[in-house]
Amino acid sequence: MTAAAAIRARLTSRDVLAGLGFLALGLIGLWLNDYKLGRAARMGPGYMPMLVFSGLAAMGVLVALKGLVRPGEAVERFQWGAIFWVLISGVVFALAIERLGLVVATIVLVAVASRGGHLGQPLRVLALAVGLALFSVGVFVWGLGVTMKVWPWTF
Amino acid sequence: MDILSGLGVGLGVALQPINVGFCFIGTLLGTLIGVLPGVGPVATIALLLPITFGLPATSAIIMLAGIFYGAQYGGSTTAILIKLPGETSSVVTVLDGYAMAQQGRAGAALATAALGSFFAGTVATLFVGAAGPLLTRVALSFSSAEYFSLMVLGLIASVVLAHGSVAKAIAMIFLGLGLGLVGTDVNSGELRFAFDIQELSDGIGFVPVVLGLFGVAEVIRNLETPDWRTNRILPVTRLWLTGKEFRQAAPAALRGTLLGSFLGVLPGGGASLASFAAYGLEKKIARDPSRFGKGAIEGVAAPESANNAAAQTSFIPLLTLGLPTNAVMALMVGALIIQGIQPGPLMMERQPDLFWGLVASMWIGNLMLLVINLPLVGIWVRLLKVPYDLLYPAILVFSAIGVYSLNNSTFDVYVAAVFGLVGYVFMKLDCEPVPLILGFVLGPLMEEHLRRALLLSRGDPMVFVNRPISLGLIAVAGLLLLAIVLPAFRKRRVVMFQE
Repeated sequence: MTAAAAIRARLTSRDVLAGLGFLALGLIGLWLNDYKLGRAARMGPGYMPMLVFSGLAAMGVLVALKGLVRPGEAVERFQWGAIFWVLISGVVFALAIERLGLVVATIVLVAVASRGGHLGQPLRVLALAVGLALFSVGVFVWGLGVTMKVWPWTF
Repeated sequence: MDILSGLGVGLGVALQPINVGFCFIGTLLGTLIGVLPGVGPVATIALLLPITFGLPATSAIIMLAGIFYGAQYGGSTTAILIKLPGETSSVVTVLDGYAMAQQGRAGAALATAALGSFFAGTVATLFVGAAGPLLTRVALSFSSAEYFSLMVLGLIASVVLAHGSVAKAIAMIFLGLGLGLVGTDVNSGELRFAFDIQELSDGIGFVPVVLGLFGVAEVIRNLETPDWRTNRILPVTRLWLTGKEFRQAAPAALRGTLLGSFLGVLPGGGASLASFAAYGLEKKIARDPSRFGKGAIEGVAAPESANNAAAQTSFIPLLTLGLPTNAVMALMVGALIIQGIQPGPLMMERQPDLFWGLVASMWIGNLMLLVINLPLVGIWVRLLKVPYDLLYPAILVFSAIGVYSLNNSTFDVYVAAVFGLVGYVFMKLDCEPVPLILGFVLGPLMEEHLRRALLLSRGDPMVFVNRPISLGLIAVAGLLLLAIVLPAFRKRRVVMFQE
């Protein structure tokens, strides 16, 4: 391994990246904290955030330094496909539930989420989607009495 | 109320048909979902949390507790039969439990786990009942300074006694505290970090955060490894113990129970530390340590008793001090707060039904687990064969509906999705999400106590060391942090969690 590659591996280790992340979040928190600080005896709304985000930034520096001194494991590859389909399934559910109701929302969630796995044929996906939709209506709406829009034509 | 009359009241509450019913549903659902591959106890409880909100407070908590020990129980079944521990506390059960199953003694291993857990549950129930009132009396003398110091100690201890990097865990606590700041500041009424988003004025929702971090993130992670369930399920034979096995297992279960009951009270330790320690102890005192790992029944009896005892005694800090010591207890705090109950020393006085009912229901729940699990083990085994491709859409559906139904808020669904991604990034960076949840839950309380303590002392931070109890708590926290820097202790800690 060349020296440059070794340095890059160290800079992208889990500890260094986590530490830099904590540091960044801490600094962003401090930057956004434009609330009145007050004094220790009479704390304003900005006092606790100041303590918390300073602590976060300080720990971030510590974690990153530790990672630089003692090389840790590298970050594994992200599986963007699974992430994408799972997150989008949540988004389509949220978009559908108030407009089209629980049954449709569940079916589209399953249809989208199944792209991230290996369920295979569309017919199996459809069967699972319809089964889960009916089960959810049975358990949540009829069983637990949760009030929400169920069908596209109800309110 | 002393322990006998307390347990009397508790049994009266827990034996009401509605509570027996919800205890039964809880243990059954907990076992069922706990057995399902890729769903741990925290995710199980988070998933089922929303369905308890419509219930009366006592029934809801009884049911959640049932889900908790049911899920834990399900975890040991999978550990024994397919070498897949449901969670860290049954990791050591795999060593000898799976070995026993390979020798055709799966039935004996399952029976040992069940009987050991039941025995441990019985003892731990009495332990909770006895220790609860004592600690409550201590806690009632606490002022804000002591509470703040106690929470600092609880948070520090929970990261030192758990596994993983301490520095990262402390950073995660701060991050959790930071998330807890979002919303209306109770003192000034000012909105903090809400970015003019109306849904954030009450803060970030607890349930979407937890379901995102533990439910959605786990789904994404499991989808990464397509072929992860390759172990053959071993056949279950005669579900009982021979006389010889019983004589070997019983003392181990007793030792495991005592060790577990004690370790469970410590923050962060809880069930996993207890099972590791109990296994280590058995190996150390055994006449022939080489039997371990090759199907020694003590290696199942001790850790399984210890983790169940610890799981139950970890309720003690929550019920008496209002201090959640692990992720499951943080979920219980969330559930109690949604029910309008602030966990803490006043609970026993104001809601004696809830406290004693919960304690008594633990024993009833353990009895139910014994009765429903041994005969039904065949059904649970079949559940192990459910392919994950069918399972994860169901997990996502129930997460989405559960999160949405809380406030009929689509915003919460987006929050859960975002935290799913955040949780996945945490996994990639080796950051445990549990300290974040603890910080998130305790944040508002810590701010309140810090503010009040410093207001009374006129801004003098010495208030935390001038009061003896507070000084003691801070000193222990400091010692724990110091210990982690010492190489000798650090080495032991690593060894303990690797074995």
